[in-house]
Amino acid sequence: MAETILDGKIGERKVLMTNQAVARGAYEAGVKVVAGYPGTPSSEVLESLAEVAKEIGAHVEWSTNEKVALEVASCAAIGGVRSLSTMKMVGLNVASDSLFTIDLSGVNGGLVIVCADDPGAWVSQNEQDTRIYAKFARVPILEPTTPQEAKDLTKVAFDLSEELQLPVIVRTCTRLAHSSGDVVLGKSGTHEKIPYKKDLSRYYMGDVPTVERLLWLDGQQKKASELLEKKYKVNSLSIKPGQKRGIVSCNMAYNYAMEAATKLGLDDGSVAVLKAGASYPFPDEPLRKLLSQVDEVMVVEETSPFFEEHIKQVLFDIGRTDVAIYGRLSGHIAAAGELNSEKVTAAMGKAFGKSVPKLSARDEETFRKISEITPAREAFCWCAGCPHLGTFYALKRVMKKKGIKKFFNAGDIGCYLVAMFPPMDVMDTSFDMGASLAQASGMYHSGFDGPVLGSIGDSTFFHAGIPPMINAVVNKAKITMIVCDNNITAMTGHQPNPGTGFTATGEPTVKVEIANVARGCGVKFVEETDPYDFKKTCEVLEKAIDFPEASLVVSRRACAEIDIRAARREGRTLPVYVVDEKKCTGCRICVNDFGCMAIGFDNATKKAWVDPMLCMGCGLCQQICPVHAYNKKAEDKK
Amino acid sequence: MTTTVKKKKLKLNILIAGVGGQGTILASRILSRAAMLEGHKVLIGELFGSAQRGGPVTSHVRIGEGIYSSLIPEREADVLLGFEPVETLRRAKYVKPEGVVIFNTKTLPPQEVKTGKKEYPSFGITLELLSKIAFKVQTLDASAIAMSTGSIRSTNMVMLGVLAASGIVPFRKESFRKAIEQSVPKKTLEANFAAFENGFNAKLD
Repeated sequence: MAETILDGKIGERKVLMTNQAVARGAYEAGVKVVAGYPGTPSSEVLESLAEVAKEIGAHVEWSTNEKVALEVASCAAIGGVRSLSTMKMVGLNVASDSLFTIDLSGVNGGLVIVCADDPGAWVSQNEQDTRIYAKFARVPILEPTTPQEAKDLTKVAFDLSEELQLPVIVRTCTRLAHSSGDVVLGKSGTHEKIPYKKDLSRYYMGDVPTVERLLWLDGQQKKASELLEKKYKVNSLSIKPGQKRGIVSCNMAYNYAMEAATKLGLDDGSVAVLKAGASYPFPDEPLRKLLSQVDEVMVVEETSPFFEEHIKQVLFDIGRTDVAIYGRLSGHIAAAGELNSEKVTAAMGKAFGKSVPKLSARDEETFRKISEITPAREAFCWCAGCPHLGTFYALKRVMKKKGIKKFFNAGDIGCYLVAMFPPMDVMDTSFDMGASLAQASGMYHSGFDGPVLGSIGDSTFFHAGIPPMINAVVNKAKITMIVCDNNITAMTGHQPNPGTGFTATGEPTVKVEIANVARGCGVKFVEETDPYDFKKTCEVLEKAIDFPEASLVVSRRACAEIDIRAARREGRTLPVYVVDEKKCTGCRICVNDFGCMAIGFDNATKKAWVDPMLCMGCGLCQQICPVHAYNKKAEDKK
Repeated sequence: MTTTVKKKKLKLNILIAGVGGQGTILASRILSRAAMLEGHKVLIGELFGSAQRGGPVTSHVRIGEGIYSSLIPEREADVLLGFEPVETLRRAKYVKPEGVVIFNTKTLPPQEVKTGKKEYPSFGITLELLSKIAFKVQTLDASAIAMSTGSIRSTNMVMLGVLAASGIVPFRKESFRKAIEQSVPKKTLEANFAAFENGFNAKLD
């Protein structure tokens, strides 16, 4: 992002990514404390604020995990300043313990939680619908449909939060978060700090106070509903007498619904539309108005039948169980998977009896042919020179050397999870943050007949890996823990973590050494290795696997991207490797077993070759090739 | 400045498809800034193949009124601007039957091809299939033009020049130039303008 969220004049229209628009909204609302954890597609919100933290006088941090982030932000809000916490939707699971207490204590300064859903689970382990959390915790959740609305609703969220003394969630989703559009820049405001007063009736949660606070929370629901409907007017109902069909939608799904309606000719004034700017509290006033009038209603929403189920309740309450509902429960929309214009058009066409334009047989055939001849371009493989290549190929080599065919390697969330896929193929699982080390313990205690390992990244280690590491030691699981330390939180876009030695705002800070943490937690075998040193990494891994108790290896080398960017900045050339065709026997181990993306294989000459555009000179190929047919060649890069 | 009536009627969908690292995202930003300078509303939808370089990257640039989704529905792109042949094929379904495909002929073979597992589709068959589902298909070696201008990294500027000259995007050349100025570091301005000009004046096949 070349420009910051501060660039531009008040009133100027600029193209901003939705995530940047949210950040801009927080700035305009006078945010003072920002705490989050990287998580696609939410990360840019905090990054945009970190970039300008000094200018706007805010404290912006990447916290160790989402629970810490929400607790930092929420207590800053209790301390009286406007605070923001950002995370992806599965991060809210980690922070949920905090959410269910902060909704009872309430806040003083406004607290906004930006939570990004991921319909289709493009970059997540599921497609949770954050609206359900809002209902569960009984806090409002706002639903933008454009970058401009994202900015506007973030500001509303802060005001609403202070009026209700409750956290307010602003929900984005992958397509919305990463889309960009024109946004009008507004003024920023300052807000008086609301002084903190000690109050055990709010800040101690247990027995009597809790029940009283639950009753207070219950009372806030009606207030929230009224404010959202009457004061902030976030819900918009377009309805005319005589309209017998209705559409209910929110967030990105609303955009697909409108595209579909236009395509099917339903934008002819025959359909009433409720666009919910807040999905909880439920937009009951406009919803009742719509449902009292229409005979059919189509619900377009992601990723659960949240509105659809509620609509059934409302229909019961208003005595109109004759209304036909089309949505997920009715089978018009699939139970899982991301929505798009095409799917919604097909579903709406079926629901309202409108024909959907279809491809001609000739075009179908052409597209089929195109699909057939178009080679895939992998989205999920390691960059050329990725240190994880070294770590996991060493593991593969050690197992082969020891003749071990059966081993269990629990993985986690980060770039290293690519070790699961062919050709590396040495990892068994990837569940949720920090699961690897505890899963390894579990598999060990189940009596698995082979070595048991757990692989975890540096950021994941700090996030959630320390408790299961201690658990393995104390509860005697003989597992080998491999910390893939590439010195950055890579997968989400290179954010700092406690091991990198700098903060979200770029200031130098304490560098926490993973090996020291492990030793301090009682792990008896802790050794470090450089994954670019193939021989050493094999030796260290073998020792760790042979060690009779829980062991830990820190395989440490900066992410290849860091090297490449530094070289480009400093005008250095990186070495490039080249295949010596006289030596190369065409055994294909480098492409079939190792799999660096810079290495190709020419079927005609039966020789491997290196793509000089991708090679960054790590030298692993030279070390792993059985005949060492790779040589270093310095060359001008691009 | 275009008249209010013209502004209301403009609805343009441009799909930019390429490989991570080719600068498709910067191209989409410049295009959207040019659109804003011309007084239009703009929405960009991005499809990141992965955070890593070398994966497929697509930008959906939607200009004008009455646009909801940031992603162009299938068969509704006025232009499919392909920075690489296979990536152009991959997004073929987005172009209108009466739309135009313009693509850079320089190939960047994906891993499947590099390791000999699959063949890179021939230029002939690529052209043939694309011609069947779009009104017009035009090609050029934008990478070669970029190289001759100074750096292969300005392939995106060349492609923008081609788009500007195509007549499909009714913006003044000055708007494009101003948008470039707003989007790149000052020291690279001359080089980027040069690449843009070369693309603008390029002859397409």
